Amino acid sequence: MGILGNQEIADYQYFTTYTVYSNIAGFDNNIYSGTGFQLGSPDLKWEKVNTRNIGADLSFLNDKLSVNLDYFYNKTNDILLSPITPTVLGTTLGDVNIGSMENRGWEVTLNYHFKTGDFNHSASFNIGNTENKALDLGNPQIRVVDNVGFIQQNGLPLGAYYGLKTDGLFQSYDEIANSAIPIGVTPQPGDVKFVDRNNDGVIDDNDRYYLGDGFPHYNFGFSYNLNYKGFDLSVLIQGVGKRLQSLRGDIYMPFHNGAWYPVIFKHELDTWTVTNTDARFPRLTTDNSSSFSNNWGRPSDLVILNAKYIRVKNIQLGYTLPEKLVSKCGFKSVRAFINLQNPFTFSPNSFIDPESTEFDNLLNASGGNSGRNYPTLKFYGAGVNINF
Amino acid sequence: MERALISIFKNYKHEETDLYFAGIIPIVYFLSCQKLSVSPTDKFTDESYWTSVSKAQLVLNMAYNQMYSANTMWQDEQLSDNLVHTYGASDPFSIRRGEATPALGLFANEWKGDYGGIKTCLVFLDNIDRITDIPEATKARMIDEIRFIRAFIYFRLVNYYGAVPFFTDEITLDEAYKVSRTPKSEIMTFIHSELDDIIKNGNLPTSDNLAQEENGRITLGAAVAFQARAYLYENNYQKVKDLTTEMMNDQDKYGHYSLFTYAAKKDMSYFMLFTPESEYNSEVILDETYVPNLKTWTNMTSMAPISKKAQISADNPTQELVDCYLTMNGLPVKGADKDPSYNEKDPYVNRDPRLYATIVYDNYKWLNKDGSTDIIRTAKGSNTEDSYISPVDRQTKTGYYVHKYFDWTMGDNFQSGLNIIMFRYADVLLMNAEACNEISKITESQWNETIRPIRERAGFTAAAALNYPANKSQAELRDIIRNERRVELAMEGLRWFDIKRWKIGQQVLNGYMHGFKFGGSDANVDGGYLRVAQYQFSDNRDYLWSVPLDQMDLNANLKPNNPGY
Repeated sequence: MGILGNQEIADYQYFTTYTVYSNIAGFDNNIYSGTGFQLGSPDLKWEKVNTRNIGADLSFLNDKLSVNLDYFYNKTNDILLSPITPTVLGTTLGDVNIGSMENRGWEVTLNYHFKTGDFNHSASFNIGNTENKALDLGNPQIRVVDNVGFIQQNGLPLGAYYGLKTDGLFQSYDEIANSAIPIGVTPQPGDVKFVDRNNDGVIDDNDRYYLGDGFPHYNFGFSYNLNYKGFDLSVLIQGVGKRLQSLRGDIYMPFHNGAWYPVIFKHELDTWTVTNTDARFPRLTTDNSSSFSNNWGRPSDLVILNAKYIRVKNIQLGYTLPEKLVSKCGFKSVRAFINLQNPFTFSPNSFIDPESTEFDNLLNASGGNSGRNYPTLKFYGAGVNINF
Repeated sequence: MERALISIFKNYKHEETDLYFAGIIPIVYFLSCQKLSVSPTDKFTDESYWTSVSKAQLVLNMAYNQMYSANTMWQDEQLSDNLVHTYGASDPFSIRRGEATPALGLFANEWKGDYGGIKTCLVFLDNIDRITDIPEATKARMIDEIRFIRAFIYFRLVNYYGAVPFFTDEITLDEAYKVSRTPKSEIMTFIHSELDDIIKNGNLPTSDNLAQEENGRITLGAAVAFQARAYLYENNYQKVKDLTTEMMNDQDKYGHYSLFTYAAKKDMSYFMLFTPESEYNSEVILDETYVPNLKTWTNMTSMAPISKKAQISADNPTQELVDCYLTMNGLPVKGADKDPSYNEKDPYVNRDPRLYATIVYDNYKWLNKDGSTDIIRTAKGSNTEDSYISPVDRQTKTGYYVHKYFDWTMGDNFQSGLNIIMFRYADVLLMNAEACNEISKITESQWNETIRPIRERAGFTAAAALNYPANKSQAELRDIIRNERRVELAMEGLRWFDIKRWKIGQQVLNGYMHGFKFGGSDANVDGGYLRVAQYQFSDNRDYLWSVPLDQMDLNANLKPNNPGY
């Protein structure tokens, strides 16, 4: 158990500060600086992290099987945050000690070694989960970044998605006539239908939901090693059991905003038409139409994908030549191997790396995820290790 | 300063069967409760800032920066029927299509930006007295500049939102959570009395007395023009007439202004008015200023022709605007007085030269700074970089591009240092003409002092364009003056506020916005003019914006919201 301080905070926030910025005003085409300011927070304290941790190491079957259990609970108090305040104030406050949040999680690791004849096996499996929750982070903050909605609110995890829930696609004018639709929109069959959360007959800001979080949960890994005479085999598998990821741009929106990246990928071809009514994507429309803004213009779960996955990270098969044989040639040892890196990935959406994310380390998202990260490389190789 | 640092390291271990329980307390910092007295070296604090005139000037500069912007001007223009957004989403476009909800980003951003500007003004006014070695005249002038800016920002707020929180001293955080909305009329009364004061004080220089290096600073003439506009938006025509008449007739007192003419080529005067060469000319009353390479705006990247390096044509002039330009004979192209020589198949010839200065159309002769010209084609099938292709391509979707305010000195990065004019003398003349006609039908002499010189400067020579149309009724003259105002001030961010005060939203912003005839569309639909976007206008809702949703969530006293949201 313990309490930890955090010193990664900006200086001088206890003063109301005046900062001179360059290139603020021009008179007769000469440039002048200008001054901005930030209100001070006189009673600053350190952030405090309260850490608790409990674990157990167990072993069974003459140490062939070992089990490691771990549970932790961190509560951070007096988090320094720039609070959400009414903008009528005209300025923002520096960081103040307003926040508290918690992280709790557990991890289980199993290791098992055994022999069958000349075969030596060793297997290891681990799984863990971490949940974070905002306990007291001041006023809620709803942000829309690239048409993906986020909410920071007490009781919810950081990196929480927020927006309308889709209810499939409209299939007929009758259905449209009998459904709640957003103000000003005249949808057509093939456009997105939303859930009218408060049943007031209109889709608006009051119909938004917390849609889940973008933090990976139930991370697991499995490794297996086998030795038989000169042969060795190792397999490493890892994955995430529960995660959401959001996507924007041409990788997920057929034709995106047509004029800019007029492309449609193969995985985007499943758009609604009168003959393809159970489509994944709404019908194609011009990008300045009211249907387009209905379908893609408002934050919803349409752009939030299931990002769970299992990935075979590595398979290696090797053979070490008998020592007698190689010592004649003056070598200490010779091992030949083939190696496959990332040969298989199983995920609901094959077109996007399930590990890619819009969040930084602090679960802030400054822009949507366009899937333009470097893809995970598949690597097939072979080699020989020689020791002299 | 006193700071205690104690570190403790403890390790508990409970060995019970196979389970152990481990925890650590690595380090604990204690900060003493004494107030720190170390001051930052890279920033100023409240105690160290207010020491000199130049520091006060820096805050004033920030207020100038927050008063207005090119972006705001173009955004306001997008709220009108002069420009239509044709690529993806945009907040003004959502408003015009009747889809805006209280969570719209623009509602929140404008509110936040405006109150940021108000705050700067209030900080200035609350602290300026702390500077002791400041000449009285300098101080008085700076205070009146700040008061002008504060009034200008409140004026924007009431025009967008109606009733808004109103205060003239800095508010505390506590108050920010509780402040309620003050009726627009009360805030307008304040704006008028501030401007009356500023005009009466005489602390601001006239444009005649403004030193050249001070070009861009607020003058007495700007205060009078602003006062006239503030009354105009309230339809107080008597006040408008009085103020504009004073500006026209008592120029020794308010500064000498005149319609800009380009001596080298008179018929290019209007064209040249919006070029970098002509900044701070005799017509300009107040600019939002920019400086090449250092303080710039980039909106042209979505409005200029593609062959002029625009990235994408996202905001296009409408056919509705193009149709407002008269023929050189001084006759309209539509309606009962339609010019018989006007040919819909060759619509851009023999038109008001301001069309050429404002809008790029098919077969447009683009003038480069070095005097060379390029032909811009926009008709479908003309197969140039600029030609209309379809509603989803990056070229124009109306057949038109924007020319006015295109800065021909800017590089490929589209960063323009061209000033945006906030008030100019032609506006004063147009306000005068409108006020005269509303009070009682405009007279020949009033016409000859206002509309006639504007049309002469535009390049009209025909008598029908220049002479007083004596046979027209007051109502017909109203239409003529309003049309003149729309054409002269197109792409200056004023049209939306005219629509608002004339209450013509239902007429001009409900239904389709159109593009040109040469897009290959069905001749039986709207005469073959492209339907580009469908607007919806609700009289009950759309003359005001919604109070930002997140602000109402933080402060319930801002409710009830404006009707319709």
